[in-house]
Amino acid sequence: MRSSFPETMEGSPRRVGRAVASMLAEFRGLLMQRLNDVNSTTSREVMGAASSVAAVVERATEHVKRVKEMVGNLEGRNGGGVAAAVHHQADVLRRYFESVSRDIARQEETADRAQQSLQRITKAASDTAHLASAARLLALNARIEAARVGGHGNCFSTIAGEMQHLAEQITQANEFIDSLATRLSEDLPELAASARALRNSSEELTRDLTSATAQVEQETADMRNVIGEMMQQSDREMASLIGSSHEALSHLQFQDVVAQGLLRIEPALHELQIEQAKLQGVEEVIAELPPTQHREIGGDKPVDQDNAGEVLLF
Amino acid sequence: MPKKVLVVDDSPTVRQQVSLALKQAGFEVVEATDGADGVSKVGSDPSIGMVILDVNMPRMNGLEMLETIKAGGQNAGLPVIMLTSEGQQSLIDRAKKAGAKGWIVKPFKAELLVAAVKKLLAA
Repeated sequence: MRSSFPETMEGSPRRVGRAVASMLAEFRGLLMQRLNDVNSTTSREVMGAASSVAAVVERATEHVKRVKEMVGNLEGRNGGGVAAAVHHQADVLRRYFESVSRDIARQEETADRAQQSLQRITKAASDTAHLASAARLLALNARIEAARVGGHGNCFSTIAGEMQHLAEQITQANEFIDSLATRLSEDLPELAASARALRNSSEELTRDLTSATAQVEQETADMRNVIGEMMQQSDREMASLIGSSHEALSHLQFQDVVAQGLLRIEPALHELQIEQAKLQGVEEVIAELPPTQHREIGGDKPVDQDNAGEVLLF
Repeated sequence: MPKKVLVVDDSPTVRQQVSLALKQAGFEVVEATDGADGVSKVGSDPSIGMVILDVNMPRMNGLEMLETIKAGGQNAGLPVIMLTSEGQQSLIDRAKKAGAKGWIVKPFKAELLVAAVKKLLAA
């Protein structure tokens, strides 16, 4: 822009004074325009930089939030997680196998009792065999007695026949019981052994299941610890990132300090115009001076860097 | 704890820097460009729980705004922190007398500003 400042200044002191006042006014206008342009540019750039810093923090915050949500679902904080489901299913299976083991143990006891009963039956059959033998002996004696007494011994002969028949029936029954006992004595130990084997397998399975569940729980706990440490690390990193962002925001305040410093030129120029008008006897121009745009309650002074950042709480 | 903070400053960069620092700390922020705008915002938004206030501003400066809202009405109890490049004891005394809760000298340290806001809002 071409300046309207005169190249030479000739004439009466008043005329020169007015010309200088005019030059100062133009200079003030131009300077403030430039300063406002500079402040506007630096303000725009600084705000852009601050926005970029904030965007980084925002993206990181969102990322950490999403990771936490995903981890929260994995951990099943609301009772619906994988680990909780595994634990529940393992618990159901463990209870089932414990129940099966109890049933098998009862079956084994039953088989043992049946074996004891079998022994008693075998003994009873043996006793009955003695009875049959006694009955046969009695029948023989009855026949001998019947032959000895002749016709009067017919009743003995009848008794002898019945005793013989009874002895044969007892013998047949004993043979049946004996064969049954023999078969049972072969089957029952096998049944008891099968029950014991089944119970052992079931108990082993329950132990394995308990061990596997404990392992799952341990690994889940380890995973939780690792995730917890990761989350704490993320929180620390986020705090550090926010701290760095705060530091960047603190440093970016140089723009406001510089802008305020530049704008303090205006009151100084205003004062200079007044002094010039007074010195050169053109006080009437003072009334025409535009008021200064930059006013500070505490007066025109640079920022005291010793006090900068000071926080007073009342 | 109230979460909305009104930031009153004529400098857009300062408003932005204060707002970003507070937002990153979890606060909601509204902004005003001078004291008159600030008084209007405080009067129209009852959810504002705190004010951070510059001193040197056009139209109505920060001390005038402080004295206006502390003069009476439903917002007289609103905690106010002055945030300014001014450090004169007479001005600090005036703000304290008017009811300000704190005075922070620019250029501020963002983490100290956030800590002060949290402390006052928790009180």
